[in-house]
Amino acid sequence: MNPLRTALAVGLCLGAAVVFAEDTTPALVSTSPDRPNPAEGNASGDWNVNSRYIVESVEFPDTQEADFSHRLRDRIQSLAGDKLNYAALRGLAHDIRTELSAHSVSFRIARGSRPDYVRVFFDVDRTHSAFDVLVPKFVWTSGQGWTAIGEATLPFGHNTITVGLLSDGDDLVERFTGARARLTHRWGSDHPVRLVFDFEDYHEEFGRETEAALSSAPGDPGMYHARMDLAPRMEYAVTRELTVSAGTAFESMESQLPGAPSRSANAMTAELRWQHDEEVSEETHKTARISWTLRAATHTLGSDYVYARNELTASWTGVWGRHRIDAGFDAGLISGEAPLFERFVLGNSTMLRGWNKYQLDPVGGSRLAYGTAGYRYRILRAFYDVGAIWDPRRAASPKQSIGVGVGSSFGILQRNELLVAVAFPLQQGRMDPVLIAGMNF
Amino acid sequence: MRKGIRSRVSITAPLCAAMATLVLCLAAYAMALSSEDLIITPGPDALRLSAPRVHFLVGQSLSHLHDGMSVPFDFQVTLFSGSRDRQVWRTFERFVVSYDLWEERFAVSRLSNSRRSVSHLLPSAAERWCFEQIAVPTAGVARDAPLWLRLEIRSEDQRDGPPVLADSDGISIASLIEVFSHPVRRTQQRWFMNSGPFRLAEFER
Repeated sequence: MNPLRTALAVGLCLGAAVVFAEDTTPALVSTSPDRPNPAEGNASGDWNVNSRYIVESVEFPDTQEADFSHRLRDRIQSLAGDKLNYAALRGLAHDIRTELSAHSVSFRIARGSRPDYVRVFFDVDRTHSAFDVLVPKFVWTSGQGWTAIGEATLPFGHNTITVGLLSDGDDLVERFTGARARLTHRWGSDHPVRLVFDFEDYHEEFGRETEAALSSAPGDPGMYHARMDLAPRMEYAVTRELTVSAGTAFESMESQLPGAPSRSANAMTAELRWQHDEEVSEETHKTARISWTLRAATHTLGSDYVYARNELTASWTGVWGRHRIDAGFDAGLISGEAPLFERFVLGNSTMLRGWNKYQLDPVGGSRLAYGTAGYRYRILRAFYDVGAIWDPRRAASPKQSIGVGVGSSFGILQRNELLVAVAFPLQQGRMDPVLIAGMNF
Repeated sequence: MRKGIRSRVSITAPLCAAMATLVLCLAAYAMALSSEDLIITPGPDALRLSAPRVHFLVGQSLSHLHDGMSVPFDFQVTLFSGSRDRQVWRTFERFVVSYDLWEERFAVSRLSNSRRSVSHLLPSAAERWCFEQIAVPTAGVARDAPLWLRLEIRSEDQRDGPPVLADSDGISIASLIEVFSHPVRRTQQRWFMNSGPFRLAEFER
């Protein structure tokens, strides 16, 4: 049986079961202790005359307890027994709205069952939180063309569906054009378990440099004109900072040669992600991220390719008001024979900017080492990249580049930024600037 | 075809009539508020305002109050002279009203200028207290010049969140000017009153 079809069927069945599963968790009702704690006053300076009353309970008529993280549940329960603190309630409403991606969260107060006690009711409106359209990446690079990705996201309950259209000539050796979709289902909030199904269907185009390189080196992996992938995986947030995931990826590639059978790269996948945020003040914060990913294709899963792809990524960002410093590191290793889409690339809009990826290695490399450092002041940016890709049979040749640019959301693009940068590859004897322009790259 | 035309006429005519009636009623109500409801009383060195027929603790604001929320009301008072083209004086005040859920009485806090609070009030008394806090100084105003007073009250847009405070001493005047510089939103309630022309000399007789 075709493993891809089997995975697709199993995935769809599981997805349907998850989506339509009925949640029977009761509504959250936190009740106050018998005695109020007189030591806890309301120091918020609220103008409301009801601030002197004691919170008897905090109730969510239309929301399930399981929707909240432990942290939020603790905060909700800590309100009961204290004096009514409107500032705390407003802060809680804001955090609930953020955590549940709700359209609005409001609260109202009513008399309690005893004199001088009140009940707090939170109304969570999730009806308009649904649809969002994003442009995760839009970039044009001189000499390498453009890349555009558009996505629409629809959350419903504990599920989220994301559908995207893209034409990407930046990330891989080849340009891949097509559609991708993701279905996620989440259990819990504080230590959530997420079930994720990724589906991709692409048409592939290879550059002349790649075709020439492959024709002269028949030992390298072959080209394909279409690629389809189904990748279910399970994610678990061990702590707020550490997430682990494990799953499988069933990739099918249709050969460019007429009549040739399709080949598959079916792999077990694993990932470790760690992120630490340190917010010193409103204007000063630091973020550190480290991730390690593994894709191991074996005959056990019916794969034609057998390989293991390891990648370690680390980044650090520090913001001090209008100043920002970024640093990053990426290392990769592929053992065995991997298809072209798995091979590492440098010389695109995000890594070793200024170099042409086809000049560095038109078929990508099985080894990668890369580092970057950047500085931003307001809209101005400057960066320095250094890295190398190579294969066991080719020696590593480190390259460097520098660049400057401007980037801004202009106050209207919210989380999106328009960026224009000029990058210079540092090579002996000449300077060939590369222009990079776009959004969110 | 004829049936279709007749049907369209029969729907449009009453709709126009209803709209015209509504506009006339609103205009009449606005005029009534404008001309008669703002009463000016002379004081030693300031004019005092009252509006016994104007009630702003109503509708959506009252619902919010009954839900235990506090509702800010912003007052803007402007004194004009000449042919209503010269602004002589202007002030802003913010009053935060809340409703005691157990005692079923209103409490009001005045945030701008000198801060004051009062509680255990019935709705009409709470409204009256707000008007009593506003004094229009007359020092330097010509006795015989024609004057007009305009009072605008807005309930704060709930989307704006809690009252904006500049510091612990009271509300920022700049933020109140900001409030009145925006057009009224659908979620806001607004009352608008005019009085005049009058002369200070008339009060001295």
